[in-house]
Amino acid sequence: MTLLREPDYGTPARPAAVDAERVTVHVDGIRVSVPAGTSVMRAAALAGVDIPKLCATDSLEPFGSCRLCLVEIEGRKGAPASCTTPCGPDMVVATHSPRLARLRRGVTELYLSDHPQDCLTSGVHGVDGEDGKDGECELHGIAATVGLTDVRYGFEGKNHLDAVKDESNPYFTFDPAACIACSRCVRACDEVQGTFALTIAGRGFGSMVSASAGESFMASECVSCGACVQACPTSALTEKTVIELGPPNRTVLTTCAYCGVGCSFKAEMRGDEVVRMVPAKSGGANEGHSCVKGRFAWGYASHRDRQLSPMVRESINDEWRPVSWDEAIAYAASRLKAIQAEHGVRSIGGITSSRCTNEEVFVVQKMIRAAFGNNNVDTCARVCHSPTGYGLSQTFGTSAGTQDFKSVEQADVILLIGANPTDGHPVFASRMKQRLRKGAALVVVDPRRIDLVRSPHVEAAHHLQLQPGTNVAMVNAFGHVVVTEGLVDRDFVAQRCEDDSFAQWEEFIARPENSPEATEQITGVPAEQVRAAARLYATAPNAAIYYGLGVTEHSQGSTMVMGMANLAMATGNIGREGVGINPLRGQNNVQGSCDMGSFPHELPGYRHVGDDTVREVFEQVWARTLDAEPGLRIPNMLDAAIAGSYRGMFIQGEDIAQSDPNVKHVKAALASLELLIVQDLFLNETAAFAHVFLPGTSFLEKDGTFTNAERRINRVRPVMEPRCGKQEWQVACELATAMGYPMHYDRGSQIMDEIAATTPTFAGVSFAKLDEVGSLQWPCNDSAPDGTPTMHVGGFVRGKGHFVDTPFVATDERTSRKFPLILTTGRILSQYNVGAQTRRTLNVQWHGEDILEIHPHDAEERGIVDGAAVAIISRVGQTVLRAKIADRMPQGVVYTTFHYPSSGANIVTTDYSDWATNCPEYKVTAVQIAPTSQEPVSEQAPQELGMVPR
Amino acid sequence: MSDPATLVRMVNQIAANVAHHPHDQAVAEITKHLRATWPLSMRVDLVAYVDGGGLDLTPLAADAAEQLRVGDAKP
Repeated sequence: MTLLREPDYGTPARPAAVDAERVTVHVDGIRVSVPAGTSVMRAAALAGVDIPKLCATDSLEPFGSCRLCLVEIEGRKGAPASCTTPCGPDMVVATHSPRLARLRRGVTELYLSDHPQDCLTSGVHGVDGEDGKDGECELHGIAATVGLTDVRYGFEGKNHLDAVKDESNPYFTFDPAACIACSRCVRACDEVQGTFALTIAGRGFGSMVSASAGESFMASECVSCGACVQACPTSALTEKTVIELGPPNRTVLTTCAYCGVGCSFKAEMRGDEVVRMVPAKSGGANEGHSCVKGRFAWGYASHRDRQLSPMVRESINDEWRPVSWDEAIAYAASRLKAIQAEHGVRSIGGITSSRCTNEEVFVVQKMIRAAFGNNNVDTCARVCHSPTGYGLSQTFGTSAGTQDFKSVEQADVILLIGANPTDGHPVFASRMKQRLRKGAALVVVDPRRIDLVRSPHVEAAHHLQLQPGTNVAMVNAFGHVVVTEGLVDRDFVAQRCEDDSFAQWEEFIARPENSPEATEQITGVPAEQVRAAARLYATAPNAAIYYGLGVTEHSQGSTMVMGMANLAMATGNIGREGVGINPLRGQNNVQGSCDMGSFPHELPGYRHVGDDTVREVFEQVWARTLDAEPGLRIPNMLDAAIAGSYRGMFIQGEDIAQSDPNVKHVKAALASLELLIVQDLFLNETAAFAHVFLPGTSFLEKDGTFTNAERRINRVRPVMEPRCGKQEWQVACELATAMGYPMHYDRGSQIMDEIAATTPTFAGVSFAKLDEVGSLQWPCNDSAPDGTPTMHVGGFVRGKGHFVDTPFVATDERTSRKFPLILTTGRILSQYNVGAQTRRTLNVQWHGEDILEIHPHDAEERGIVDGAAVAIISRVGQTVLRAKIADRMPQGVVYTTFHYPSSGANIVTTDYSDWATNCPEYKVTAVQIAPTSQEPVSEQAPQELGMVPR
Repeated sequence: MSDPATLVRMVNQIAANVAHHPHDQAVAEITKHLRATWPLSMRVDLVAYVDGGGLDLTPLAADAAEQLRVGDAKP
């Protein structure tokens, strides 16, 4: 593919209902019908007529400052700006005339008189009418368009050409000399990203883009989402990789491999080298927006730490020995077979990865079920969203979020529980903030004062700052208010839900112990505040629940998911746009890895292994009798390893020695294994216990699909051949074959065809269809050939919605005099999960180590000052971090991230887990914090890690 | 053989979360959950643990484990 240029219509589409009024206009004699409110510029673009522009782009509201998009309108005086002029009925527009040409030339000439002439060559920006900067400054493109060959004023006058560049940001530069003060960057930061970090400082000739209050970009509030760089029509804001490598010349459309938003990106290449990743406007999940990780932090794929050769060793005390693929596969297979021969068929198993494609995950679980001959397969979703699967399956009948991301634009009230989207899911957070700025009300349920509680132009109506571990008491209090204050949507419940389970829940939830007054003793949140928030949710025309790991990673995670489902059903907030239960998935393919049959009790499509009919489907296709018994979950595998009944393990792209709780226990289990096979990009913490290392592929090399949090299946297309020589699914096939079960596919599309043939919700999915339509949201089958953006419309997957009583059962992890504080863990914007990827990028400049956040009073009591080293001691272990005194923490609660192995956050977390799914209780660990003379283990500087700032 | 303390903690926790149901229904919920999500080896170990006295199992968890023996032909 050549460089993909997405069309730029100049101004945004006006959202129009199907029956919205339309107007017809004539642009240069071409008749075009558009929704009322559409700009003349957009109507012209739709008619195929390009109007020169600089300050306009269709991701931003019109601004009318550059004076280039002037048109003539029959019956009107002057030459109005087409970007700010709405179409009127039967309007007759001329976009070109001698007068307009003269005006445009004059304006362009003035711009060029204070603009570097070499912007043409140093710049990287797109031609007029197209989005996609490919080596041309838009201003110079327009100069060519209007026929300007000379600047009469010369370049000797007062100008900005000597202005100093801001190169503070690791990923892009700001060159004020090339800036035309069009405000596109400022508006992108405001309107798209919602950070409001940029402004135009000064007046008149002194007008200048400024980050925060005249700070450098790096020191400002800028979150490096890249929206400003993308919006800039000149080379003022330019990616450093473009300056270094030159403009790209071809595009590969693919999908980001970071969080569960699953943004579509244009990988813009120069030869075989990635020049930059640009968010695709056609991407259903992100619609042209990005965050610092997806946009810039892809350099790990070529990091020197990548292991590209298979390696084996007899013992974990031996040195690694690089070997051929054939030798590694044969070695792994022979040892796995030997273990099974001695200890039984169920003595081995494996873990799939949510960072891998659907096809890779499907093949690994198939290898385990068909070649290993058991169901000992689990996935890293075990430690994040397994309660979502359980809870939504019980209540609605399927394990998935109910909406697409766009649905939030119709929400009137957003109930955000245990999620911090501005850090964890930043592109969706921007979409949410856009809706909040337009008037939707926000209720935040979180122990911490997350940024969304109060940020520029966003303020939560209620922040219910509850005690960690008390979510269920809170959701029950909401339900109590709904039932006892007459706020139940009786019609919805009568038509859509089970009578008996609702009646039982109604009686349960109305009990006094569920009242806000009673639960106040548990949650610590004043009853009146809870009542007000519950009324707000229940009485909104559209109320939507969004949640994250602050819901699931508790001993009552599954109960909480069911509690939220109860609440949505009771208030009729399910089955249409603007409502629903929306899990914000952690990793890029959490949804997909679960869909693909990664759980030990479920075959692909969430169908139980004990179901003979389902098993027969796979047995026929796979030509192998399958085990009807559930297999081991990850924590079961670890326990069984220590007990000696589980001895061989294949781990695909997951670092359980860093990510899983009670690391000491995890490492003891790994050390007990006779054979550990790790497939990964890097020699991670888990690989220290491995006997076979199989190199993996980065997302830039994969050929497959990811499924994001809105069930959207997106293509992941390779921009280069696998650096290790094989696709990961090929490796699993070869291992299965060496185990005696022949498995072979010629290409990834064949795997998806098998998924579609065996899994009803994917029946209509194929690579060919995805290539045709861009993306599909499952279910996609004969009933929904174009996919299903909103689920449970007209009826639940299970038929009638099922209410579940959700009594609050406190965790067994309790604070005490010895461990008086509660530790919660989470993540930060610039880093991702265990940091294997982001730690190997320049993102370390924002977050170079894990920090412990502590409330000022808790710090003062312990004699802890900001920046001091502190020991964090729990019942299972201790570690040392640097303290940050933060009043966003409530008293009694401390917080840290787990991005760095050296920080050992999971040395202190415990084995407590969700009662139904064993999802670890990362959010509640009783700890003590104390000053220490020991220093935290320092991380390497970026340069030491082989990263040269660009 | 599973770690008995882990088995006891897990099944007691499941029992605590369905204890609001009438006794027989709660027992049925627990056994259904164990059969659906626990591997055979852990169910066998739980029954064996009950045979060994079932120390520290809550009454509801112990009843469910007994029911596993009765209803689950496979252990």
